[in-house]
Amino acid sequence: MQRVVAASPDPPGRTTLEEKPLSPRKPIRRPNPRAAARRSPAPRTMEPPRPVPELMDEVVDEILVRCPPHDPARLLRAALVCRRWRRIVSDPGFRRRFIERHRAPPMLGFLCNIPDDDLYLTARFVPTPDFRPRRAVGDRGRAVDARHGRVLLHSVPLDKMSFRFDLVVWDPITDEQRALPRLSLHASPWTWNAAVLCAGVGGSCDHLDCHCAPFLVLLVAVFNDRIVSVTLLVSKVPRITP
Amino acid sequence: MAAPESGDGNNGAARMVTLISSDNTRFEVEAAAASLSQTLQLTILDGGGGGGDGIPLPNVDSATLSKVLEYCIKHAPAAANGGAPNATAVDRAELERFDNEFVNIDQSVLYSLIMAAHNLEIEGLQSLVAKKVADMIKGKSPMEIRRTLGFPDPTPEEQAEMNAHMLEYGWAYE
Repeated sequence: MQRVVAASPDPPGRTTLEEKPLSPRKPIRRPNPRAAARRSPAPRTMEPPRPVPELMDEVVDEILVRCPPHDPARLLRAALVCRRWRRIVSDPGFRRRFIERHRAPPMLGFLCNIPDDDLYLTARFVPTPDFRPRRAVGDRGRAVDARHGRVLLHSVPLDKMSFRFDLVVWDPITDEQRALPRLSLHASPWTWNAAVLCAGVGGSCDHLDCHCAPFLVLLVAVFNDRIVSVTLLVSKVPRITP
Repeated sequence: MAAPESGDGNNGAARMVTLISSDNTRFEVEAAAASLSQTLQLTILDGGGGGGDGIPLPNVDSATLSKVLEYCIKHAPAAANGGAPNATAVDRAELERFDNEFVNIDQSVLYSLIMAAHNLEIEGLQSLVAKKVADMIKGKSPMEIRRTLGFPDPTPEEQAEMNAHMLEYGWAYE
């Protein structure tokens, strides 16, 4: 009745049905979960370490997608294990599955507009202890808005005297930045504000994985002569679906 | 032999199917338990596995299959109830305790299990074992992960690559 059979080290691809001479055909038996539970610790003893079969890509994917998002270092270290694992983790499909599984993204840091020596505000990315961005700080200007992983910065010109709409969209995680075309205005605005948005049209985007996708920047300026200017900038012409 | 302990059957005459491992051991289980496997479910729905036929599983050896079925038998009643909507907290706690103990096993068994769960498409088991391996690599450096999972030693080229990456992403090792 009692069998102590070590797990087979056979590779997964094996398809032949072979008889093992030392384990004669057993009569039909019903595995008893309690008996099995009692038995399970037994084979742990005196098993020398042996080469384990290489896990298939899909299996590695299943494992790594279960790394908790609040521990980004674990996924990064897994990506450094070997080239194959790196390829799996870097795949956009993996990223998508990872985000879909965990939904609530972890907080990797926050932005803080801090005045410099000349009292001009500059955005700093303050990371959590579990994460460091590729570059911690960039003197790129003040953060005006942030949404879906993108930050809209208003760059202050070097002379800091003239007003210019130099806007930059920054992804603090990848450190990619895209300068927007400079807008020519007839005067300095009395007040203004701007927002960066995902360009997913008509609610077609769930914003889980769109930080590399096209974006919109909406800019509203009010001038002293009561003229209101509204400008819409589009990073790339998104596919408009009616 | 003892009567089946699981299933708390409605009429005690649950349909049974026979599964045949790669080393030709035959296992008779309730169809409901075997049907946790998406792969087997189709065959069973088609009426396979009954009588003297049996369903051959050429990729799963008897030790692994026995372990897989232990999981299926334990989880079949909850699955039959459509997950856990009307399961009591005690039931769920019991399943959780079972799951935790279930994956507390030798690594080679764990590997065989993960392959079997994948091939047989047993979602809960796939998830359970994958989660266990994900937990095993927690807090480990790439080199330690390699050792834990039985990778061969890295080639000098791979080692140099790992060192370069570790320099670049030093924060992940603090």
